[in-house]
Amino acid sequence: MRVDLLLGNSGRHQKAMRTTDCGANTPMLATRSGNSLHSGPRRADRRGLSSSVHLGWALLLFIVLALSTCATTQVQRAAQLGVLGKTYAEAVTLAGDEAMATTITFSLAEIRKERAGGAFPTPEDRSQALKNQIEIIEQRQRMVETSNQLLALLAEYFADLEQFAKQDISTSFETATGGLVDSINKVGSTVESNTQAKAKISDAERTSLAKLSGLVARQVHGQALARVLERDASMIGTQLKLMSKILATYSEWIRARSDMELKEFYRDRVVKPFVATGDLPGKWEQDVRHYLQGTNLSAQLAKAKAAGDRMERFWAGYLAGEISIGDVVADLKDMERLLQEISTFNKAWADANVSKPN
Amino acid sequence: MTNKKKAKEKPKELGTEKDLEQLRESTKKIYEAHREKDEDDFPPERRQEYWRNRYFARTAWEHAENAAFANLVDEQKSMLPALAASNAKLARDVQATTDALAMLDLVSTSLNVLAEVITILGRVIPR
Repeated sequence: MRVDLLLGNSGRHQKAMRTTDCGANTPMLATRSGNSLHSGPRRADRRGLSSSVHLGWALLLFIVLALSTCATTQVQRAAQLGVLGKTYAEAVTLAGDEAMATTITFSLAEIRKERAGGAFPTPEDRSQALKNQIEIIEQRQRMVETSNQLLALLAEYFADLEQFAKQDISTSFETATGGLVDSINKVGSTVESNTQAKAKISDAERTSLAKLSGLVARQVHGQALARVLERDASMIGTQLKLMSKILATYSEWIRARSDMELKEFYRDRVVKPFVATGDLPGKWEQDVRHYLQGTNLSAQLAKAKAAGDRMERFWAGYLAGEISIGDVVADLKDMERLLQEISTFNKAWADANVSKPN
Repeated sequence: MTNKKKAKEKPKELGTEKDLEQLRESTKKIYEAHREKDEDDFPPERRQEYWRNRYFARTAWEHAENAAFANLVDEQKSMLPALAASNAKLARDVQATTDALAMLDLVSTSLNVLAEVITILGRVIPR
């Protein structure tokens, strides 16, 4: 059991907090407890007590604000990073599936044309060509699968990070501390039947203590997350960079094929029928529209490549405070949307090719 | 010395990421150049050769793409131990939080039990 992370290290953080703006709770806690645990006839100077109570509450309020601000930033950072990592891994996996589907469709369409053009004159040539093609596709499929499996592990890390960040530790600590104070009170009440002992924590003090402990817990939680991010910074940076390279590769697979097909489509289905004499085919306008839609998608894919380049530099920029996680998540969402559009377009493309007169 | 012996003596040199990217780009350019030629511009006796060359250029490009991607996947694999270690550490951190909460809860429960024991003792022990 490793409770030192939160309990053991909390001492270190509290020590640090005493010297920074993020705390000074311990002395405050001691003062409040010291005054309240022995309330009674000794409190003669009501005015003095009242001002000390006001001062105490003011300090408590200050601590509450300071602790909330410090911890929330760390928790938000970790949670955002968790979301980013998961979104990234999902986008790359989706891109991999789309890129694989695109390459298979492209290769099979090409080998069909090559066969028809007489590239493989003998049955042995045809057999060998098919074997080679299947090997290329299978090898690629295996690599994409391996990459996806490794990405799934990375996604798991980011999901855990997000879960850790979103763990509402302060509420649990508040409840547990409240319970602890109740138990202390119960012991106190039991002992109170002995006239020598009088120890009781008031309801207001119980609530304050519970809330304060919740805030301390939140601060410790934030610090624990900050340590995780610091510890894993190198690994996260390397993995994000690698993911951006893989995403760029998949985008390139798709874009290169899309561009090649579009060029050929433009030459064969748009230009040739138009420059030829005689009537234009009935589907000519539709083919032009199809071409324009394809070039638009291709341009968007080129933009996605620029986004990929930004992503490759993301971690260094993020650590330097130059790039926000929100921007990158938005880029990734755009990429996912674009991939969906490409998938739809490719289906329409396949339909168009089926209807192509040969 | 035969070629086989030479191959045995000299260790295989792997291409760098840049080399593989360059190879991918140059094979792609060659393939694109073939595609840009129109089959109809060739005399019938040369069309078969055109398609054969185009096929070789395409498969060379696809092999180069695979080689470049294999390099990336290898890089991914080489980072697996670091990733697994981070996953394990993070899981321990999450567990530590749960343990800390459980411990506080345990202290609370223990004090409750102590309170009950004191109550019972107060009834049993005569003053």
